[in-house]
Amino acid sequence: MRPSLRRRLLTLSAAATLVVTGRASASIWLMMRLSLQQALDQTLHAEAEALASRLEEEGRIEFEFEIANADNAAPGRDTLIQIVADDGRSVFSSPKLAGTRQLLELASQDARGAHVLWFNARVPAPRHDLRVVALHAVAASGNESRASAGENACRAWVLVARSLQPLHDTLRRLAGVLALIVMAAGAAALLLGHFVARAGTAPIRALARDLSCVHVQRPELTIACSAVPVELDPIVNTVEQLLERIRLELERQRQLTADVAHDLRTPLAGVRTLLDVCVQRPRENLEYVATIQKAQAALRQLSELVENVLALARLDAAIDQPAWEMVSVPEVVAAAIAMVHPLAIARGVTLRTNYAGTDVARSDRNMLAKILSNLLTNAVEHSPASGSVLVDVEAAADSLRITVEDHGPGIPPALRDRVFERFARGDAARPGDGHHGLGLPIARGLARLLGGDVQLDDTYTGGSRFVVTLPGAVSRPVSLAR
Amino acid sequence: MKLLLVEDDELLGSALAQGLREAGYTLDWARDGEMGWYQLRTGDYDGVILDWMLPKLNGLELLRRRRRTNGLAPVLMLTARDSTTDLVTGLDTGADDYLVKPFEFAELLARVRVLLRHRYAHGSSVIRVADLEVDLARREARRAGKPIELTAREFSLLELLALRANQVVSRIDIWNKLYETNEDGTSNVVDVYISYLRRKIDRGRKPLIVTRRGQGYMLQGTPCVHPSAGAS
Repeated sequence: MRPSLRRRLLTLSAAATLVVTGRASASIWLMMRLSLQQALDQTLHAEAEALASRLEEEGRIEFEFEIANADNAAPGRDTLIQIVADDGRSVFSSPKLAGTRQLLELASQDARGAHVLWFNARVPAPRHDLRVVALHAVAASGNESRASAGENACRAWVLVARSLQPLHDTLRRLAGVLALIVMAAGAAALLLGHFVARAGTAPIRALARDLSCVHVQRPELTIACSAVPVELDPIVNTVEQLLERIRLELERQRQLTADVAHDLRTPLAGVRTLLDVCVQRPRENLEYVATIQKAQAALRQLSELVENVLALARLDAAIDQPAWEMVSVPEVVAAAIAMVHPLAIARGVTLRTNYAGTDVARSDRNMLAKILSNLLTNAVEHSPASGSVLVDVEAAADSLRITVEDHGPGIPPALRDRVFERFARGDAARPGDGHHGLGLPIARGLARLLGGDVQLDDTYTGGSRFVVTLPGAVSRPVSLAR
Repeated sequence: MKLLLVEDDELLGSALAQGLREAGYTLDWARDGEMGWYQLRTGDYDGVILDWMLPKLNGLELLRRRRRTNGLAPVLMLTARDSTTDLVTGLDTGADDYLVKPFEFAELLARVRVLLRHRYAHGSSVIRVADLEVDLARREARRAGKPIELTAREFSLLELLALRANQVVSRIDIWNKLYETNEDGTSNVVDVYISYLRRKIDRGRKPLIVTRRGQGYMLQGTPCVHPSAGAS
């Protein structure tokens, strides 16, 4: 069963109530027992004293003891009496005690020699417990002092007993009442706890309602801070932070969508208008051919953009995984250079390569080629006419380091942090020169997929230099690779 | 009718320029915001077609500047952004209308016509002067119900005169409206075109095109505009 805050509160409050009332009841019961016993002991002691003094006054042990005596000093009706002479002879015994052993024998042996004894005794028939007080009395003859009584003095134990039954009954009733009280308190605690827990968890439900109202497109928490209990602050704060992150991400996505929309719609609008205008009137064949060629060029650019946008989407969704294999780095570099070659020729840019050490790496051929061709395209496009772009491949330990540097204007410091962001371009006004600012983000995404990275070298001042670092290079002489 | 097109995209810009010129408009094409602003300040345009995202000076900023100088030419914004806030911003800043890329060229033409009609306070696209009908939408002219064949430039001239019917239009105004800023030519060509137009419209009828010596030309007649006529 899953933990429930309400059940927990309920259980805790009921348990606490049971413990508190239980302990209080136990204390009450124990105090009650103690005071009742003390009262009984006092009564018995007083009665025993009275009997003992009468015995002493009478001066003899053998006296007719009238139970029904209305004397003030006479013990109560429930009182059982036994008088036992020191020699063990029973002088007197209440009728109810007839047939039982002498009570004194039941007292512990250690108590011998004491003047007063208190003890409990159990009588077999009818079976019940007795509280007994035994008082050692000396019945002196005449007016002689007790000390000098000598042989004339007659010593005897006066035993006064009462049944413990009434006391036990009282205590049992009290225990019953107290148990009822404890159970009632427990039940009350459960009932009260139910409402308390309900009321106590209400802010959580209110918060949940507020959270359920948060709109996906506009993630804002509209709660007055004063209305939220202090204890829920950690949750509210966490949610706020989460929503803030979502807001930023949404804003980024919106900007990205707007950028994609702009870059897709502009060439689309161009092609459409071109064709709309073309069919408005009959034209020469040459004009049609020129229009078709223009449309073809625009569509080529457009499909390149769509491919790039889709490549980024695939990277984001982690759809493509590297096909690991041993790759000849010079081959891949050559393939990347071949891809960029037409553009380099068109712009009069020379491409140079420089290998050092390794030339085999465990990588994905297509991804590596794409990373390099994107960096090369970027370098060629930013190179001055008749400039040169250098690709430098070197192995460091078991990693591969490829740098691509151009001698263009470089990247202004303000833009260096944003150069790997999508649709970030040199000119903020977004010239329509076919740059979409997707090549570098794709290169970095692919490099990271291969366990490496692409970074801008800040220290290089002769243009811009991008550094690709990839794991998995294997040192091998260049000659063996061919 | 002279338009200013401010568009940085080579493909869209050239297609629009060709289409608009073929539709009979005189057109200057500025390829960035700065150039657009310069042309707008110095030229006399009946309407502006303005892209939103431009290098150097974006369309919105250009609109703000234009508003500060109380520019009159109506502006049609072209935008690739379709969020409502963007459109509201554009309209609030002074754009008269907008089109979201990509658009149908015919729709752009229709919207340009509407903008120009508002500029000259005509509710209809058909202007009537005496028994002459000038249909701005179809770019057709009729006199007494009979269609008149006109070249694009002749019609532009007629359109200009018709929109300012019974007002004198100076020769330099005509020249400015009919010729692109970078086109060569002398104001003499205005007289040539006026004579072509007279030949087609006024020959054998009561002359409507009047010469005001030293001032310019005027299309004279009882103006009679039927707003409902535009629908036919």
